[in-house]
Amino acid sequence: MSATVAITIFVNGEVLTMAEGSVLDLLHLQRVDTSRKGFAVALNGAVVSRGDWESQRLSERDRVEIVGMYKGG
Amino acid sequence: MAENDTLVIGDRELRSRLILGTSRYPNQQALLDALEASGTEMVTVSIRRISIAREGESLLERLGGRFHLLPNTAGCYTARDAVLTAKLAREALETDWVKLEVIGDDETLFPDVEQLLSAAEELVKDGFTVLPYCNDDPITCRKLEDIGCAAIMPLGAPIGSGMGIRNPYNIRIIREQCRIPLIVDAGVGTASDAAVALELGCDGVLMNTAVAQARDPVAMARAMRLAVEAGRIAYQAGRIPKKLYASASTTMEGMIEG
Repeated sequence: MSATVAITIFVNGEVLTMAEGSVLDLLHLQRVDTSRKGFAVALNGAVVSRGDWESQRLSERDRVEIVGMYKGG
Repeated sequence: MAENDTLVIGDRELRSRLILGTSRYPNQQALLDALEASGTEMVTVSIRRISIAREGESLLERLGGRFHLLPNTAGCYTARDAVLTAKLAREALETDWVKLEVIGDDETLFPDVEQLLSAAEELVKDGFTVLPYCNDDPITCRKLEDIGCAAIMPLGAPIGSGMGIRNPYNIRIIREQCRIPLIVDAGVGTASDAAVALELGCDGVLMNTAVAQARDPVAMARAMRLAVEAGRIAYQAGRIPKKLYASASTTMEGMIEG
């Protein structure tokens, strides 16, 4: 078993340190209900499709946006 | 209104010519009741960073099944941000429809035309159904039509200003020059403003604040519904030309002699 490597990333503008992992790991860590529809993820300015959350690894200083639907005009 | 007088935008056929925003209502029940009273079939929503503290978790469940959702790119200042927001909306809401907003400053909320055109071009190429919020400028509107937007949505007055349609002559020129659906987006303050938009030949109206911030949003939503219907029928009926002098409606024939 390899040693866990910590990475520091930006999630919705906030600094977050987590064990190296995938977008899905991050969503679980953030307690996002991934079975729910209505939200989406961008990594460094590009959308990561739901089907790629598990395979998409995160790297040091990545910028992640997790967005959902809100009221709007 | 005639049963078959529908508004067709892209592949969507709407019976209501009123599109409503979902923001700034006093509470969620007032929002839902106002949407119901308005008869609208399509509502705008925003895409924002999720936060457990923020409400809106159930908004999709409450609105999604009943209305077409039209995500906006409100608050974006660059084509790049607007395009990313539209793509996130497509992923989150499974729709390729977008109300494209790229603003130039936060005091006027006027569109940045250069960035707007660039974003519209990119999104149309990517298969989006693009409904751009734009200036009431016939040239910009023509360019947006040429790019392949599904509709054009010039402002009547600044967003949230309630000043009505400040330049009806431009709206008339846009109506004459553009073939795609024309929707006045922003500026409506009360029912007569909505009626004017339709009387000028617009295909619909998009509004938020005028309903949401009215003293009675549900009653105002109904007023808007009726105004849009009245304006549309008046446009189809063909108004009389304006004249400077009177012309009697009662004939002088058979007039008594005093």
